[in-house]
Amino acid sequence: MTKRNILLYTVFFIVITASFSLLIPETLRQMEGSDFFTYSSDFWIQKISNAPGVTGWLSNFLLQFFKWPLVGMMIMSFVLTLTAIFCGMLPQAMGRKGFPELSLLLPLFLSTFVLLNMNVYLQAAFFFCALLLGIHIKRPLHKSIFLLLFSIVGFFLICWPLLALTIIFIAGEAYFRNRKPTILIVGIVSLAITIADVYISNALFGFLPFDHRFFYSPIPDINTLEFITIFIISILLVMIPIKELKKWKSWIPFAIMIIATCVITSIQLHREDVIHTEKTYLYAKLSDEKQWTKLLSTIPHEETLESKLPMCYALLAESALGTLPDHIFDYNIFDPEQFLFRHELKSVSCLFNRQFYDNLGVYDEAFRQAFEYGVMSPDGTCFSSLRQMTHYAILMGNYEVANKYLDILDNSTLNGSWVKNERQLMNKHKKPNQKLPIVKDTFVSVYQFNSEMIRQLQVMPKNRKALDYLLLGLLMQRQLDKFSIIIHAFPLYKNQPLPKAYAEAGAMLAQAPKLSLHNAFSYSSELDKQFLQFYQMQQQNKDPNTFVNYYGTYWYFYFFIQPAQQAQEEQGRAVNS
Amino acid sequence: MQATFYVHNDLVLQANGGTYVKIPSKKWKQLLETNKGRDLTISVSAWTPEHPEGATYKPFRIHIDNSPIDNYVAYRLIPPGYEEWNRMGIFQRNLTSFDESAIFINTQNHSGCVNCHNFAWYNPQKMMFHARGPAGGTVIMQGDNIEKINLDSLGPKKNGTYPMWHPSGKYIAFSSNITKQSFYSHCRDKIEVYDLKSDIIIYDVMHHKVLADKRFNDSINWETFPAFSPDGKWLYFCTAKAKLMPIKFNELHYSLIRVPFNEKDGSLGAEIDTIYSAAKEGGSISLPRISPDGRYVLLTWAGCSTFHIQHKDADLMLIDLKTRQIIHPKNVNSNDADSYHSWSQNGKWIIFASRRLDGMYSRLYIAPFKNGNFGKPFLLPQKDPQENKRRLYSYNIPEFIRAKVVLSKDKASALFKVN
Repeated sequence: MTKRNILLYTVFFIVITASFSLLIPETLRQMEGSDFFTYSSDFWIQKISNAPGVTGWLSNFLLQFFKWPLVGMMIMSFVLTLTAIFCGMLPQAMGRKGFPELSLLLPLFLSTFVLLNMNVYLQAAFFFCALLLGIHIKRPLHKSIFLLLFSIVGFFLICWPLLALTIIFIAGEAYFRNRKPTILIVGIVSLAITIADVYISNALFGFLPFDHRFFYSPIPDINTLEFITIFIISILLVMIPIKELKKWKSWIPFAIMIIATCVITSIQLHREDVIHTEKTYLYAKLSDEKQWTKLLSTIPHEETLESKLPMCYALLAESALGTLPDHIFDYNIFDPEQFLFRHELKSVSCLFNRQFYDNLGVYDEAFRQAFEYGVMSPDGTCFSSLRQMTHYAILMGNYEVANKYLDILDNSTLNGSWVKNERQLMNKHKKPNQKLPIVKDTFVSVYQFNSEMIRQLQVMPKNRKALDYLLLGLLMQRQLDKFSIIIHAFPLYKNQPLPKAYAEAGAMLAQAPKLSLHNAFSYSSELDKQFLQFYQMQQQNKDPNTFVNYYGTYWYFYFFIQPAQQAQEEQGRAVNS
Repeated sequence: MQATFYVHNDLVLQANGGTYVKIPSKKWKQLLETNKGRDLTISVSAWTPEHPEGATYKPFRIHIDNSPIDNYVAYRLIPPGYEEWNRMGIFQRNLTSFDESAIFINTQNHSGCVNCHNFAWYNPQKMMFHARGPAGGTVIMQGDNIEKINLDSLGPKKNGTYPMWHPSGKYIAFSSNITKQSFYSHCRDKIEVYDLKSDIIIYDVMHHKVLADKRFNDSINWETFPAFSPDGKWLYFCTAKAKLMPIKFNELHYSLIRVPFNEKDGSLGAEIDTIYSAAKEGGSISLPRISPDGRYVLLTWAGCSTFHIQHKDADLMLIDLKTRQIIHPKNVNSNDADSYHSWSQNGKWIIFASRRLDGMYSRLYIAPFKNGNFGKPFLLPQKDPQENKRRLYSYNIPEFIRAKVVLSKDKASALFKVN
């Protein structure tokens, strides 16, 4: 390998590592969160039963290092760079001139179209490593032994199409070099062994799906033929016998590849879906860290008007800060069901819903949402889910479950210090004294949002966040009479100025003596006059555009925003029977 | 770590290990064989960095029972879930070793749910289970013959849920349920699984027919968890007045009744015999299982509703069918959910699922049974005892079987191929 190529691979490694870790750090961090790894036989069997098993296991092991995005990305870039190096060394191993700079194209392709997929990257690295080794071995006997051994070992490292390609390539290259048919026979036997591997693995380990046995692509959206073609083209490209360039011209391929790396990486990391994912995980992280002010300032207000998830996060931050009743009508929410993602079983919905119930102090539901999030991860559970469930279990005083998860996490590679801290927390934590009923009608996601909140309030009558959600839900549904009853029944706002939305609702109720808030709560009587003025204007002029000054008030919402359709009473959730 | 085993103060075995004691399988089997009916005294010593000189725990005794136990147990391994699942499957464990193998896993049916396995009188060659998802259905295996049926396309067009195979192997009784679940907050229980509808149907295995008795297929009462008596002459099941669910979940109380079963044509007789009246005795029962001698029925009891593994107050309850005496076997029950149970073929043992370890993940316990009394239950032994603690799956529906189930993975998976 020339010094220039060493420099090329080094620059590639640095560009990939730096750009990913700088531009999408939260997406990288989340890769550790949705990963799972433990040194247990159950986990090993689970991984080994899916071909290629060892790579699957190793991939999960390495993903743990994304706990530190830079370290994780260094490992991933290293795997991609190794792929390029092995690929670039093929011509030399075959005694040919080639174009090793083009070996960067495959890693670039993989990092673009198979974004952050450690398993596929490892397979590519193993494939080229095996090719290089197989070609390097010159003695026919050693090559034959290598082929026969790799037909077994390779089954656990790379998918069958790559395994077959490796054997065909090595045996073919050796045959064309020496014209001895023995190596072809060894190649055919090795191929036969790879077929036997599939059936033996299916018999000894878990079931290998029919469409995941021979001709399949490990890359979603790319069929087997395309997948194989990509690898064949990568090999052919580095074999192009390029004429040696002199002086500064010799740097042209180098410069082109570096520019290509920078441009492609930049385009890819500025894709809308990549940015959206990064933002989601950033909001989630700030929310988990309870950095509510920072979260609010991070979410652009226009984004909250266009998309539900940013709005939900902004409203969650407002609730946590206690400012929800002041700012609610600045947002594009018109139905209390929109406070969270009810009845949605997507991982991002579960992620948010967990934080919603965590903020509300309903830890059993936060635990459940963390559980569902874990179930939806590739391995059926994941580190972030386990850590969150542990934490909620401790808060609920369920130390047996917490201990179970702590033991499992302790059996991974990098959770030791977290486990230690959490055990200390558990030792200090006082088990809740409250004796819980065995069953009680406090179902979550069964009733409409407002009905659910009233049930939560009955259990937690001093929970101001739940009260806010209920009161604001009632206001959104224009149920001012119920609003008045509830705010009186749960007098958490007594002896303090009412927040904006409640005061504005109070002004609307001022004319109804039985429902008026004036006796029990304090807000400026000037607001009553302002409302009367607004009301008189509204009666004469129904055009909302003339009331832009009132945007963000409950009055504007009440008179100009289309009422939401009443949600159907939910009857429960389907189960697996 | 070291464990020493004594019979009548004679040292019969010594075993060592690191974090747990590894007892050589051959020596252990020999020891059991030669000491049937005797007590074994075990003394465990451990050496740790804190106690380099070692410490010996107080010796304890275990009794080696004379009665054999069935060689295998089949169960489902599933995340102790709420709504979603990822991996699950039906597994079998050799009780004479630590060997565990899969019978059917849900990678074979496109990650669909796999549930409710049942055997005809402990016969591993006559097995059924449901596998949901794309091309889902009920798999019925009889020796080498394996087929998938869709119950909801036959006769009364009702789905099949909780099964019980008639001892003759000719019929399978199913409850046909529309099942839902809801999630509690601020309660000891976390999930309420309930039905919006449930009836009883009988599937004629030989003639591929579904029979439905009108009395047990109306909307006034719900019927669930059928169980045949070992002589095949009675069909037991739970029944309750239908309620608005989940709102009235705590008013839902299941009783146990039985009706005569005619093996000739699969019909149910006129007589309805109430074995346990929830209105009279209180609570709600589920999962009746009749002892092989026909003398006892073992049930799960809880305060209300039907799916007791999710109820912390769920306990096993025994009824002597001869005297109708209700027995609450305190020594097998715990403060947590004790539920799905099955009898060994000789009626000398039961295996049941309990959440007593951590309140969330059910584990299997085995208890001896003699003259209407249960002995102390013990946890299903594992090669590494930590396995019972660390495994991230719940054990569900343990069923004793005489031998290993041999079901071709490819043959079974082919039933679920989607074009």
